[in-house]
Amino acid sequence: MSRKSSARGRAAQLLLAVTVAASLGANPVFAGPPATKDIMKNYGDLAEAMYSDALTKAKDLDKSIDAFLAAPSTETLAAARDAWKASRVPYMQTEGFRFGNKVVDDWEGEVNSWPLDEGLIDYVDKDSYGDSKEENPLYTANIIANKKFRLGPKMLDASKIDKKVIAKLNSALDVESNVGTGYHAIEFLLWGQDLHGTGPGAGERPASDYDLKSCTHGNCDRRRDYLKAASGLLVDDLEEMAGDWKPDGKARKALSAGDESVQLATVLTGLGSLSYGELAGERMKLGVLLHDPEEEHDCFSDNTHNSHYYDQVGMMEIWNGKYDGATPVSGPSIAELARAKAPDAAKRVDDAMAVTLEKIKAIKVKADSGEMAYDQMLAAGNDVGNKMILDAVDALVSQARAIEAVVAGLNLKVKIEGSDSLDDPDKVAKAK
Amino acid sequence: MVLRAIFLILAAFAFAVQAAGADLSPEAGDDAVAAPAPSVGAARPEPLSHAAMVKAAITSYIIPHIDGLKAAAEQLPTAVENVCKTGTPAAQKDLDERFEKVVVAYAEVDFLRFGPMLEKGRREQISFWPDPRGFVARQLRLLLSSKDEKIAEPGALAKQSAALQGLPALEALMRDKDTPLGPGEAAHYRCIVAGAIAANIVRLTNEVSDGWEKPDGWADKLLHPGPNNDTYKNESEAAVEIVKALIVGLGLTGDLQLKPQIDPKIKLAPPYQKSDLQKAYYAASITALHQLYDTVDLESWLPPDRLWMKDWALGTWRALESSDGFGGKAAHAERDDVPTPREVFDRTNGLRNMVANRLSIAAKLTVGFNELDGD
Repeated sequence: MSRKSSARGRAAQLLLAVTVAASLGANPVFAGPPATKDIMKNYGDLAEAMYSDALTKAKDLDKSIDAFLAAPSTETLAAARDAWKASRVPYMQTEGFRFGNKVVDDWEGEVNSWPLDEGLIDYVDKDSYGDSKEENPLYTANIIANKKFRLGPKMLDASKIDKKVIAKLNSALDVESNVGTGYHAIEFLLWGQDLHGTGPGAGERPASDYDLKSCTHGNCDRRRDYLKAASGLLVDDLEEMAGDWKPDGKARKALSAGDESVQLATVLTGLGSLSYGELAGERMKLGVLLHDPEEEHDCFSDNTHNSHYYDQVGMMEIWNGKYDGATPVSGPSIAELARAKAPDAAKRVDDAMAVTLEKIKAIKVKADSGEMAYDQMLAAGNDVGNKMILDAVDALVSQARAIEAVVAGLNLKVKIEGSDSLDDPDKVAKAK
Repeated sequence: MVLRAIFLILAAFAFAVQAAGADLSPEAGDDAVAAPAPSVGAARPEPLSHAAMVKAAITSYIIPHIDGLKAAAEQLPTAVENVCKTGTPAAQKDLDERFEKVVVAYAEVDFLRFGPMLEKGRREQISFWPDPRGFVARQLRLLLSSKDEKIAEPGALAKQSAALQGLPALEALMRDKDTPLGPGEAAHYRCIVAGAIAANIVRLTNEVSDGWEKPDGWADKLLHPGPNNDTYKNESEAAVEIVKALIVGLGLTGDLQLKPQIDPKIKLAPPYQKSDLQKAYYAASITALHQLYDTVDLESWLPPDRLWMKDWALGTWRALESSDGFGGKAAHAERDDVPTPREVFDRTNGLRNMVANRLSIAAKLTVGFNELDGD
């Protein structure tokens, strides 16, 4: 079919739909599936709006940290912690863009790496944390207390703590849990370790850890430098990603380089991979199976319930092509396409997403009520809490299956990634 | 016709290179870059239908191997008890042998990460590996220092961490040279824990077996897809589950067992290395995957111009089975030379890609997400 005849067909369908809708006294209904280019434009607009909101909230966080450092007190620390929690709300909604979009996935490690060995950054409670870990020579390197330390064959000069120095800590010595930047580094600096285990309570770092006049735990000047560098770097990183999703940004360009089916598959890859391997697996199931509070996503602040909840909210927004942020976005979506071309599969996703939202919301409501924080839910012997988490895991796995059915229904293909040797042979050493 | 023949040969060559990991090094082996001529005129068997694929996988592979794991696990508690009562070399040897049988039986089903193995985290509870962050050692140390004998009560261990419940924790107790399992006072609490773990492994493998085989269990669920089935809406979705298991298995073997040997950045101990069972684990993994690969017979869907892939796959299985997984030669090697770790890894990876991106498409299956996605 030529483009002209296709357009005429769409116009006729539109006219019919509007006529029918008008006769029913309802809002106009657009019959026929949306075009891929329109879906992908709206997808890019969503990403731009969401990352822009995450940037705005990161700037708010940076300002509240300035206020805290200007006058460290319980109140200003609480305000900074609230700003951190608020900054997580828009960011977590963006996570559905990560898998599938290489531009995002390559960048993500700078802002949301987890879990981390916090002893790399600052003082820790040795009784619970331990002195060393075989896999990580930097387990208790404590850059805030040490002006230089060895990074493999080289010495890292950390006499002045700034953005460049802390960025060098990420994956230092090829250990993933060496994390120097991003939300979780800032979270640790604001809350400190949660020493309550699976009991009630989050981290209780005192504001005086940043008070130059009555400094606790030493090195307050360097700790202040670290916190400011980390919050400034978070703003820089989010500025970069918000820019990457502008109309001429590299994320949109990379996406549009693929053919239409690849572009649509990217949308579903993001949703399916976040649902299953990442959120259901790494972030939720492992923690409850190990009953280890260190395995909860926001382990210092006890904000995990919100992070998981907004992951799901974001996935539903991407699926439906609608986001009510500072700049509301609403337009053609992959859900509409699926409802037109594979209605059973689309309904399955709609239903699965509703169930998942209900299960994760139950966790959020329970945690927000103060009755049981996420780290208490995953405790050994807490049958009620364990079940709430595992129910959400099951719902996320079903959601991934439902998304998979849409992949099949739209005749798309999710790329099964090869290992590094295929994608980048240089990453793997030659045979011994 | 000439142009088409050239195209086919070039396409075959290009695929073989890609499937072998773009590795043209001499050690990659001849088969990695060979471009066999397409078979012409051979009678093609009927493709195995999606329903038949599922049925074959369940009856010929899954149920027998799940039963094998259950039977092997049932021998563990008595063997642990004998060691703890007598501490004799004969009892130790018996426990070692029975432990090996369970580990090998588990390796043969490790990649069936759906259904009863997925439910309640049974897979992680039976075999918590890989463990790059050392959960087994750390949590076992805490449990041993607690000396809480309630752990022996029925169901008590099942409420503890997955890292404490299965084979790696039992292995850590069996291989502790400072305080070996035995009748002495020093090992008293360790024997209580070891007994609880052995009993727990029996419980878990029974639950997995029951979950597969009971009426309306997972086998029935796979065999009877449809609109009212809460997991599989059609026969293709059920078949995808089986093919996904194959892809996951090849991924696990390549990335977790083989890749750490050639990528110095990856610090991961091989499975059950304390018991020197890493080669047995590799051999069991490869044998099992080959058997499942043959059972589902994705190759029966290949069009005539892609039949050369069968030859490539055959050469790859031969290479994987000729290796002991650690740079040496397998006992029953069919190749004279020893495949290098790099070749074994590349071929495993290539086979995974072929199943995921070529054979599944030829079989009209849409493979989606699995638990290895994410970080």
